[in-house]
Amino acid sequence: MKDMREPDNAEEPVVELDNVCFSFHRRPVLENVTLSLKRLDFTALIGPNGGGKTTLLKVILGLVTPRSGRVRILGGRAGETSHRIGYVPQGVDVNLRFPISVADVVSMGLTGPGLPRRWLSRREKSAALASLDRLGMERHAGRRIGELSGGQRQRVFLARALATQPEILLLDEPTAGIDARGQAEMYLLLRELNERMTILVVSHDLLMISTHVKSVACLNRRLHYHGQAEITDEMLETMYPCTEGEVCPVELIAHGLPHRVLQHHPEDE
Amino acid sequence: MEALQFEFMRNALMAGLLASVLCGVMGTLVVVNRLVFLSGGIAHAAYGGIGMALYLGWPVLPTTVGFSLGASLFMAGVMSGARHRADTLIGVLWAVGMAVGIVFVDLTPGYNTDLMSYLFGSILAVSDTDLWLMALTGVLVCGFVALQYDWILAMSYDEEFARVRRVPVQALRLVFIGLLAVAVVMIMRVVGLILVIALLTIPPFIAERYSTDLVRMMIASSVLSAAFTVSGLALSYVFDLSSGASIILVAAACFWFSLGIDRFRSQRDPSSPV
Repeated sequence: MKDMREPDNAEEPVVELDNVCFSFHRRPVLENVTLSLKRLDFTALIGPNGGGKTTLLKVILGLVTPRSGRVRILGGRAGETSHRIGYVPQGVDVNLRFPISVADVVSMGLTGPGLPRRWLSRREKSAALASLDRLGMERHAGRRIGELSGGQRQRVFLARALATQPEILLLDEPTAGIDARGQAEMYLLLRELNERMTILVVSHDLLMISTHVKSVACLNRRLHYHGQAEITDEMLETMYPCTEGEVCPVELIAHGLPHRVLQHHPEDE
Repeated sequence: MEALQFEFMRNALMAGLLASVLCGVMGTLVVVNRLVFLSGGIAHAAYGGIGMALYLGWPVLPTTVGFSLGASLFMAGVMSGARHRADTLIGVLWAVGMAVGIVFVDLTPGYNTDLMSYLFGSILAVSDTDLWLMALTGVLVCGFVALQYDWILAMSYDEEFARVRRVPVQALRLVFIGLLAVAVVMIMRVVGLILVIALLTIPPFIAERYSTDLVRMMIASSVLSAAFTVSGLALSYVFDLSSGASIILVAAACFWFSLGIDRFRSQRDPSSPV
């Protein structure tokens, strides 16, 4: 399924998965996943828990090797190009006792392949801190990472990903644990970042999907790609697989932006 | 101070300080990487090497270093392969290494004091060669940390992110665990098996909550373990106690004291993180 919005764009996709399968303990997690992202795409990845969203990000990063299928990222093999990808993981609550300052977490984004750089120069440090500034976290630079709230840590991890000056940004539920205002700010920031980088974001947030992203991919072991950012019945099925009598998903949506929600996806007609 | 006129006392002090630096640097990395159990496994498995050296009549120190290097790299392999059962497998190696050592000693005619000295240490009988070897290990360890600091930090804090940044995490970990094995045997030779684990864990545990980065934690741990070693040695000299046990008890007293201070603080200020 190709993105048909720009049919004349001959540029090579930055993320290209072709029939990727992955199993964990003989349980299939990804089945024949085919996904192609072009430069400056802004795609939301949605799906139920255990649907393989995080695994898909790890396949793109080369952290896990698929059982079969072809993966090409930024024109190279997965894992060999991962330093050009900014990754904001989901687990920001790990290792809270680790003695490390916010500034040092962000500077970690400057670590790269080749020889270790030992100690960072002042200029490099200030470049890293600029990304902290961008997220409004510069006054916390000297604090220990464990002292921050979950939402603040989330921003620090995004700042760390930005410090790597990535071409692709992968975010795993970046708004979990952030209050409404923080979420709105994050969406605006992502939209701004999208002018320079391709973004793939795992999100449960329908508001974000309907107002900010350019395309949606539904993943529940199998992947379904939607070239436009509308919420379809099929997406709701994927996200809220429920039988009659349980909470009706449409009601959940009705609080959002109904006029967009009710649009039908051309593919479904 | 009159104690310092004896050469063995000066050597003991020097050995204690060198061990403190080794323990401060390695212990910090062991604690933040949660490798305390692995260190215990390496130290106990090293016993197999001692027994083997005694039985075969090989030089003890090189044989032990070789044996524990092998055991540690095997454990490292187990850890990257079967992560969820790594602790069990390390526990098995821990016991097997020791049992092998004891059986070898059984098979060796005569009573051997060397084995006892590895268990409780012989800080008062440290030779100049031992000191040089410890110093060399210290240089290797500090050199490794200084040259690879940002990689080590990234690997220790967030291994996944380090791999995304294409830090060669696997190789780095192998080198680190290999160095750990050498350091553990060196320190064991001097202060004994029991004290190795105590000095690797207690000072970093106390230092962790007062340090804002790994370097400070390493320095604070080294200073703490030097303080424990020197005051333990002084106590052992004054009251004629065994040196290793005195050092551990001083360290343990400070450990409980620091826990108490923490509890007191968190009661007064419940918002502060523990």
